[in-house]
Amino acid sequence: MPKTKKKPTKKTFKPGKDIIASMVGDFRKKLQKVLEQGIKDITIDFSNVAEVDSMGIGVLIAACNSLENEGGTLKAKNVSENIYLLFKIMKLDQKLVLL
Amino acid sequence: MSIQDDDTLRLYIEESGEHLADIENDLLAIESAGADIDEELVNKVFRAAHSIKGGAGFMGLNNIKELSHKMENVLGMIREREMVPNPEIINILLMAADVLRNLIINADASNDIDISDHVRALVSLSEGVTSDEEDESEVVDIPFPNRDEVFTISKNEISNMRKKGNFIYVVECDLINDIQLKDKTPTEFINKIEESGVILDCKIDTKSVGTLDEDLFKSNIPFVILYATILEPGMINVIFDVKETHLFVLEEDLTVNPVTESVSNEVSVSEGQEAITIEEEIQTEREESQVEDIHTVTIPVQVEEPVSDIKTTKGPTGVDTSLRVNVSLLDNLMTLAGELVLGRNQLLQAITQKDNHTIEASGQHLDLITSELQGAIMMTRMQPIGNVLNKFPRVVRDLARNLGKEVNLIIEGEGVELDKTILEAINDPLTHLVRNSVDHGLETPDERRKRGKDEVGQVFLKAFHEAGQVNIEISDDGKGMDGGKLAAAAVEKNLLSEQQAMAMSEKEKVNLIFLPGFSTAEKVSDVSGRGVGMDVVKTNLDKLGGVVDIDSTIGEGTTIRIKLPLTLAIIPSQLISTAGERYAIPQVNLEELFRIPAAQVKDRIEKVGDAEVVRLRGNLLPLIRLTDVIGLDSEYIDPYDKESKSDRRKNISDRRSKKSPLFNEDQEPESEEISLNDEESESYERGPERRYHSSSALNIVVVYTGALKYGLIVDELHDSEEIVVKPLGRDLKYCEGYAGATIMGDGRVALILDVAGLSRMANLTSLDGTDRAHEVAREQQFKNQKDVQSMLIFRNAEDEQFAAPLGLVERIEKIKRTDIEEVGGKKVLQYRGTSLPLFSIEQVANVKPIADKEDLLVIVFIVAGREIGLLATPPLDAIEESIVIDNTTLKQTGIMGSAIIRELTTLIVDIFSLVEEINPEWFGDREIVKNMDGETATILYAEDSNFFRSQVREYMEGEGYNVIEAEDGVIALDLMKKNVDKVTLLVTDIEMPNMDGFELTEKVRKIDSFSSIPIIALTTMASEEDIIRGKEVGINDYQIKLDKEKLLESIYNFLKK
Repeated sequence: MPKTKKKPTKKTFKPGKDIIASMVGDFRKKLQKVLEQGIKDITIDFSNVAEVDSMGIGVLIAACNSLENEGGTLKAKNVSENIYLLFKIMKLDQKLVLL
Repeated sequence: MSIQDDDTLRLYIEESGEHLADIENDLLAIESAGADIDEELVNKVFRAAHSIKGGAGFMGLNNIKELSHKMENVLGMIREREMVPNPEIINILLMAADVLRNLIINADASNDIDISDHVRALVSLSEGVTSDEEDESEVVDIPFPNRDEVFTISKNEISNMRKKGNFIYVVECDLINDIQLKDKTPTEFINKIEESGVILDCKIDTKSVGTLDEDLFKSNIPFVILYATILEPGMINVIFDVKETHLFVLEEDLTVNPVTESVSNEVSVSEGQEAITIEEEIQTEREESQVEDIHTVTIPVQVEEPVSDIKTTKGPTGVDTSLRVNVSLLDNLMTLAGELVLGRNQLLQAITQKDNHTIEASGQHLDLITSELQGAIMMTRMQPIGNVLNKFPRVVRDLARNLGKEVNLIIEGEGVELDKTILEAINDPLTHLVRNSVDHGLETPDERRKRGKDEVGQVFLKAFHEAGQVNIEISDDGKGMDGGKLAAAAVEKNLLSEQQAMAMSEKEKVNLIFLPGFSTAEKVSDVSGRGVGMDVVKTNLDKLGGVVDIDSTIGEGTTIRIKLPLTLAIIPSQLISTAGERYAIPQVNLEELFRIPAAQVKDRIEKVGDAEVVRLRGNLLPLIRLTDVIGLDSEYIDPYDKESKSDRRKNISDRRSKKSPLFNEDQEPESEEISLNDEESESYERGPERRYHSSSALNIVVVYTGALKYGLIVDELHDSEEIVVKPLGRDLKYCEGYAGATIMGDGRVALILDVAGLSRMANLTSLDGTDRAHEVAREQQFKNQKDVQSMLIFRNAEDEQFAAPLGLVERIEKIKRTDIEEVGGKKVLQYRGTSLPLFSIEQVANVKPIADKEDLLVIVFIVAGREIGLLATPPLDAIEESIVIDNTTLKQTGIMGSAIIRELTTLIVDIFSLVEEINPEWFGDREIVKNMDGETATILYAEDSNFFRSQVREYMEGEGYNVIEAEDGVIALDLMKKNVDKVTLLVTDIEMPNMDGFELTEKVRKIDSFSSIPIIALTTMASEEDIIRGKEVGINDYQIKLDKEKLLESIYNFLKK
């Protein structure tokens, strides 16, 4: 999984594939690891993400919750129109910062 | 005070219930009468309110007393003509009556229910003051059930949704359990629910998701939706598919109550929270359904002011656990019970005395009584459908009012009786359909005026018995549905392909709205606005064994027909067996039974894509083998040793025919692998047990489930029998293919097949194979349009088949070879005192010489006025078939063309050219008739068959005439008109597409310049009626097709005149 920037306070994830059940386990571990490093500004790059399933939404919310506890925020960028609509309907745009 | 303890109270409640039962329709009648009040009617309602009030005062039911008192006041003013009953007033009275009913049903809690809004509304009416307008911008908080979050939404939005006939639900679904684990994605889920309603608001309870440190797979992601839809509570879960306990209804008083909350639960009295909708009551009470209930249903009414509760509930004991039964029916039951006792005594006595004869006799007697008793008891379960239909005036009125439409509802056949269970279950679907008719079917008064219709729309509800079933029709005279647009919408949604859509009939297209996931309220409104939850309606009706069908004409309206069985408990059904198991198919679903004899299996079964289909009267019927669907091994009964063996055929049409090389050696190979050319080579073994005899015949049950008709292949067909339906146990609930079970006379269990379920299991859709079906239908049509040719087939050499038009044959003689005389180089036959010249085909055409046989045939023709005999050999046969004649490939002198007849290439003999070739001197030149200007005559020739057209044209052109050809009557008429001054004679076929010869003649005769033109009709065989009819319309002469001489003679004669 390509990682773009490596700064102590900021981190961007680029899964590059659908955020669905099959990859959620790994994805969660990676997010967890970053959080343990004390990084509070995490951005997820949704390029090439065509679908987010329930498990995907779960991990995103969990990440938000974890970050909120630490006083950080989860941001999302390059969100495709479909996923944007989904987030919007589910009111997840109030939880995630959609860039 | 509890209702059970108090007989007086119960009596009061029952009595008041009866008073209230009619109030609704009476109030509606008062409304429609307007200022011109029917005093008697007002008095009736007044008295009802008065009696309720009186009793309530006595019982200490103060709320009931107060409300009925206030209603009485208003009614009093109407009676005294101090007030004109306008819709607003009636509305308030209706709502008050609803609340009153609710209060009475929950009499012991009634004093705690808040009725102040209604009292105020009624008081303000009697004081001539209307109630205050609701604050438009007011917002309300709607609590999440079991969670501490709320939705904040404006009251206005909610009441707007309600005005459109929506119910509002709070639904909690779990992204993990309800979506992920059901193989859905959130996007799909949201799209699906947005198809059937509007998401007003929704939230994910993010708190309960937890953080990354928790195990996601075990946690829940609760997603709470505030949802508006017109689906009734009983149907809502079809969309969401969540736990029933997670579905809540937002009541008119803005409280949130579980959809599933059952009446038997304790009724909480605070703030009128006992609101329970009738739908689930029906479900919970179905088991104990000896109840006659006054059907009152949640009707979303425009809320002018907060209404505490307009719902109906039934008390725990149920006010209407009593059932009205006709006394004569009861008497009948008593008599039968008496008979039963007598029968029993007789039987007991006979058993003690071991008197076998009497035992048998009383056995028969008991049998008779039992059937009669069963019938009588069934009768008590039958309830008039009016119980359901009579609530619709109110539903329609309220909805129409909210939508600003004027609707006249006409109900017919209230007296038609249906089993109570069915009656209860059709309530929801019917309500849905009626509301759809009013909401989407009918146009607004403005639109109606523009289209020149009466501003008042009509909705008909009609129930009637037919063929042992109850039919319900819901029709409106609204805008109808545009099948084309529906099909286009379905294509857009990828529910079917464009080709499929093109192949569909208008009716099929309209029925598309029953497809799951078809349409949405908003998106289709410009198309037709139907389809919301129509698939749900269909599913519900399917469950009842009902069938639903739509007919719609754009601009004229829509009719929806529902067919229901009379009762669910005992149904007539067809018994079949397959793989040694017996099954029952409900007669309602049965269209016909048919059997394809083994010899025809291969011809009649075709494969379209993956599906196997059979041709049935020009239609393609998809086939399902029952064993495949329910996963049994096919078996068959061996015709020789009567044992059942497993059947290994893969395709239905596979079989081992006698033609197969396997049987040539008169022995069956043990188990060698043989791949036959005419069958797909298959890798499995073809053992000796594969069948080729009568057991290869297919028994097909043609079943029908609404839009879909298919054939079910079974092993054996048995009797039809009335079976008692037993529900399947819980463990078998998910077996889609079965509707229930029954116990047969011999004590064995037979499963009842659910034909709709089976088709789903087989992934059968009515759309499959449509292209091919279309093609077949076209072929059939083509076939019907085409001339049927009568041909005589015979042989010359043994392996060459010939045919000649039967119409030219005079007779056929059998002769011996020795009868033929060769005189002067020519063959003749002494025949009736003259010499009959004999020819054989090989004299002219390049064909094999006539077989060297002792017995020969002479086919006698008349050519150029003489009889000639054509030598031939048997077999001889006459056929009447539509054959396609190829007039190029094998054409030669004496042979006009070829065709495939009886699977053999057959040469068609041109008898004229044959004779002409041998005896040209027989054909004297006729002078060609010319017109005044010295030009050759022009003949118009109308004929649809290419073969005949070119053939006859050749004859005529050969003679020197100019010929104009036309492929059918319409073209011929057109050409006649264009060539008024040229055409001097018309030769026409009779059977032609678009316009036949008779019609053409009639039309031609009407054209002035053609009023006396000679018209010659050509047919293969002219029947007497045809000739008479032809004379009537003005046909001058009939000639047989291909009788060149006579035709030319006739043309000559006419032109010469």
